[in-house]
Amino acid sequence: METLVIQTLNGLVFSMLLFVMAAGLSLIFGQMDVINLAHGSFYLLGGYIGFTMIRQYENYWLALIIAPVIVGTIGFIIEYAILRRIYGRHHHLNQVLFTFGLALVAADLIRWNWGSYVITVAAPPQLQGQVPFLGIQFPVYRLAVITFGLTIGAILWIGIERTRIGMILRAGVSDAKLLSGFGVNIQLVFSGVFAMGTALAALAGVIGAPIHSLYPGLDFEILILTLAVVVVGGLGTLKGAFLGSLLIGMADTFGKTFLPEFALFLIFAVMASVLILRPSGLWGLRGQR
Amino acid sequence: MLVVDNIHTYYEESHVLQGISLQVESGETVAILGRNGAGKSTVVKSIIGFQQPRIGRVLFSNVNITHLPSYRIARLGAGLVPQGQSIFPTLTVRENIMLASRGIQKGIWNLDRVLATFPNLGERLTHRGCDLSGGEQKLIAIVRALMTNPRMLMLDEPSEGLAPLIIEEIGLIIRSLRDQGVSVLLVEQNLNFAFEVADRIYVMSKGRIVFHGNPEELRRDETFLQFHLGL
Repeated sequence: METLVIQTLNGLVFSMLLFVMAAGLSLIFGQMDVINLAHGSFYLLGGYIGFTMIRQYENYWLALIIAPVIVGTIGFIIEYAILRRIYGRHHHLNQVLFTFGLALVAADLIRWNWGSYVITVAAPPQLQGQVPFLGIQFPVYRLAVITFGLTIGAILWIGIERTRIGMILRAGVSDAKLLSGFGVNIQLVFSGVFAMGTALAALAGVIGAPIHSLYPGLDFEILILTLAVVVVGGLGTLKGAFLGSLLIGMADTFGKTFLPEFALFLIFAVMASVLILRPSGLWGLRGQR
Repeated sequence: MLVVDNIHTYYEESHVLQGISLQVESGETVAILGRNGAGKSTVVKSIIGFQQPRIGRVLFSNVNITHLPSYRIARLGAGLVPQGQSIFPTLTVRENIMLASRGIQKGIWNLDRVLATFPNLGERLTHRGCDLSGGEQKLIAIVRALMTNPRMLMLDEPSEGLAPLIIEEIGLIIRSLRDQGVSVLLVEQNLNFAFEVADRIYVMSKGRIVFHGNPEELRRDETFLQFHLGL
């Protein structure tokens, strides 16, 4: 029983991390039709930049703000300088090659700058220790991550459903080009969305560092799980990202606990079954039209 | 208002517009007629910047807009009602309308005026775009374009697939726009509709303009109508 509660909570923690990642990936795909294979690299880069900030200034909260800003700026520049030249359906291969190449370059740069050993990051002093929760002792930081993920989700939901920018984003999922015919600077929207998506990945990196540590290769581990989330949940909707994250986060956590040899297999089994039953994901926008 | 000067537009290597020149004066309603594939829609796309011409130029209010991004052209006062079902299906009617209201372009069109002019829209404001009939969708696409307070409205086959009553209503809207001094560029296959609302008509065939004149001249030339428009 205790294991069940602990693993459920752990699963929730991991789901929330995946959700912050998947929301960014899904946002970018919904607008620009680009699958960003460098998304895991932005997670890791955010984590490492956060680690450096924490070491330098001994302030986790500063890292939580600065790392996404730096990585978001890098994302903005990448979109502005290169990515916008390869939009469109007939450029899908170029997009995959470019973002995958970006991921390889980022991996080498990260290894060059931060080394290839595992770096552990401490939780901020305010969130250290354990608290009794549902009859067990659970780390405060992990509970905070759950709250944090839900808060990010709520902010994104309000932003998308209740603001003018959100309205433009929802319209852009259907037909982004058409928006420019009504005076919307869609190029600027694309740059902003890419920056926002990469900043979310970096944010996940900073939040995740005290739990999963930082090491080369984590970028691709996270990328694969995030891709699984959006395949299961469906691309282009926040709801799909959220529910997909819960499914994959739980499958991964419980898989690793009860069937350690089959954990990854379990995730791909979930993914394959969803693809057979609902090819555009359980809550994907594309499937409804 | 609009001067299209000898434009050549391509899709990849396909030479779709082969030297199109036309003009729309202030407050004038001009129709472009032609069969499917004549290149009519490409003219609209070349003007709004969705498919920029490789040769030639487009002037709008004396500004060279040939290579401007679409959003700049729209902000100069070019309104667009695209072909087919173009309203955003997952947005509500209110959102579809408000999307085009920028608050920068000062003008007479706002939500209150839209509701006063088209009272039937009032009860539909919270419906999603995909839940409306084809006629309602077209009406909203027109209203959406009006919200940008255009000096020229371009309509790409607005009558396509609609019931006669709704086509009549769209005709009334176009005429009232002309009375307000808004220029209209209409792309159509429905000749009778175009004859009724247009001051001047261009006929296109295979990427070129093969006739230019007023509706009466065109109506009289039955051999020509038969040959180029298949009537």
